[in-house]
Amino acid sequence: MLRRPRPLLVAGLAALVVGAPVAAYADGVTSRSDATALTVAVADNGQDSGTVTATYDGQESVSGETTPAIPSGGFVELGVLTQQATATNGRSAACAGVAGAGGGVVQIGDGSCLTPGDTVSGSLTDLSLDGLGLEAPPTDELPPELVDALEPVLEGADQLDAVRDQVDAAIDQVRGPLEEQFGELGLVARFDAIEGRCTVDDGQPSGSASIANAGVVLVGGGQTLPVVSLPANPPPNTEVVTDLSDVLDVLLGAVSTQLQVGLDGALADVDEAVVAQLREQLVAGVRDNLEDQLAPLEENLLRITLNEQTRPTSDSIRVTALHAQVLPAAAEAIDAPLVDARVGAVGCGPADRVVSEAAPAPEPEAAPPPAAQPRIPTAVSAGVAGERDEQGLGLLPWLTLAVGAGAAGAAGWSALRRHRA
Amino acid sequence: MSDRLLGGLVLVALFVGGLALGFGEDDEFAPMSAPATPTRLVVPSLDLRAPVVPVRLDDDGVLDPPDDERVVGWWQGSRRPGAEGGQTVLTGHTVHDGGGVMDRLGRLDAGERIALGTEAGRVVYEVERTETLTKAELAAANKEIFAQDHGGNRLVLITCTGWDGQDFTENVVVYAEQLGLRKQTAKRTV
Repeated sequence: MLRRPRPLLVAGLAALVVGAPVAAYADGVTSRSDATALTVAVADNGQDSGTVTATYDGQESVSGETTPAIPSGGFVELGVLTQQATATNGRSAACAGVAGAGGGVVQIGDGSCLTPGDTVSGSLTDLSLDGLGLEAPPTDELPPELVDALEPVLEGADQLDAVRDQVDAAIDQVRGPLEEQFGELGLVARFDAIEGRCTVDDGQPSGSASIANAGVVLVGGGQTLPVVSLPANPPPNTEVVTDLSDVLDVLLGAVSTQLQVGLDGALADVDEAVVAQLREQLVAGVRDNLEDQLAPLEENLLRITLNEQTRPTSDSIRVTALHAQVLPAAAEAIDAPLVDARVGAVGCGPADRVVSEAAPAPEPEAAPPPAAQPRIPTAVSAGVAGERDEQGLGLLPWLTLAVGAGAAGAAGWSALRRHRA
Repeated sequence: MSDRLLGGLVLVALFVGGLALGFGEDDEFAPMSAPATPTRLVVPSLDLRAPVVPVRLDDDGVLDPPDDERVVGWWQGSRRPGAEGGQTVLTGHTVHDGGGVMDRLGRLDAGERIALGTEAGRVVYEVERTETLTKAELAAANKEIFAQDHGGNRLVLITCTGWDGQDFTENVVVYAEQLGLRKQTAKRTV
């Protein structure tokens, strides 16, 4: 049902939405919103949680599943998906997101539609200890200054092969403690809840995203090292830069320590300065290999955007709480499929207040048509009455206590029903 | 005796000082740049702190608060704080034997302050007046109380009162003027 606007409202709208049509759209819809909790596309295979759409053409119409089933076969275990949308006269709103097991769903409109649950985690990439370069460099590739340093100690280059055997043995001793220390290494993304929201009110779109306890961590051997912590309330279009320097530092520190212990034992007869130089050479090799492995992430080829916002029109907005993409170059480098994941994607607007179609100017003598009034309350039913006093039940607990039936009395007391006034 | 008196004065001073921490006279406010959905109502003088959820009119034009008596309802047909004009209407239950979120709304006096939590921050209002209307008076004055073509983005709080043993016969209505978003200058209790 179209309602006739007040002149003041029409003037306000005209000022706010310059040049925009203020009449209903061709299909009669004047306000709309949509929400999609999750979309994941891996290579050519995509799956999503469906979309909830709300429209208003005088009456609100909402379609779609607001708490869809968790997509199967995902690489993470999600607890709750929710996607909610509403559209009314002059206003639309939407909210969508995911949470870990134990998370809850809240009615849209109170600023959030999710409560966080257990932490959800998914592996971004594995790091291989075998690929870290933990092997002795060929003696003929040792830098000249190291060879020069070794020669006087070993009384001739022909003994360098013997040194290499010793180094190999030392590195074998190093690899064991490293694997024990870190086990299978991996970079893991984790979060408790991710949610995107948007509203359009009085022609003004706004959007936000909230991300609970989210970040990227290095895990291995029961250890967890924070790599990136994601902000809880990121500003619009926040690009996440994966600074992996901490990861490098931790791994290199462990490698250096183990090499020192191992080489000092295996090369006890070799000059200390030479062993130190050899150790530095090996650590440098490990660094090169680590950086090669992490380069796709370090160079931001894994693109993560938080609170991604676009404005299709001046009176509408699209928000995606988290948009992660493994870009083609990175996919090739780490032998992973192309991935495009969107969490908490919502769209709001346009949301015009309904006005009548442009009508020919009335005849001067014609009486103006009766203006439909906006629907406003005529009563507020905000009273609740306990029944116990007026029904004489206030004595019930005491009576039941008196006869020794305390438990039954307490149950009867708590079960007292209340009615609205 | 004098020690007790001194102790009492100290307690009173601490109490008054504690209340003053809620809203200082030197609070600074900024205008809201965009509408923001209310999510929490705080009225320090009533010790009222409650979540706010949207509510709608029923088919008969009756505005019902949320079922949970400790939760406040924001009428979705009213303006959000920060909107251009109109008024923000909130309602909550009164329970005649206690436990309702707005049981003591009628005790609010002019000049007392109210805060609404929103995504944009905490919006502060100052009470202009409190009035009690019969159900019939409220129905007759509904345009003044609820219509959105006036109000200057003020806050209107409504609950029931006048328990006659069987029913509530009246409504308490509080009107409050918006002061703006409180600037984050120091830790506050509200």
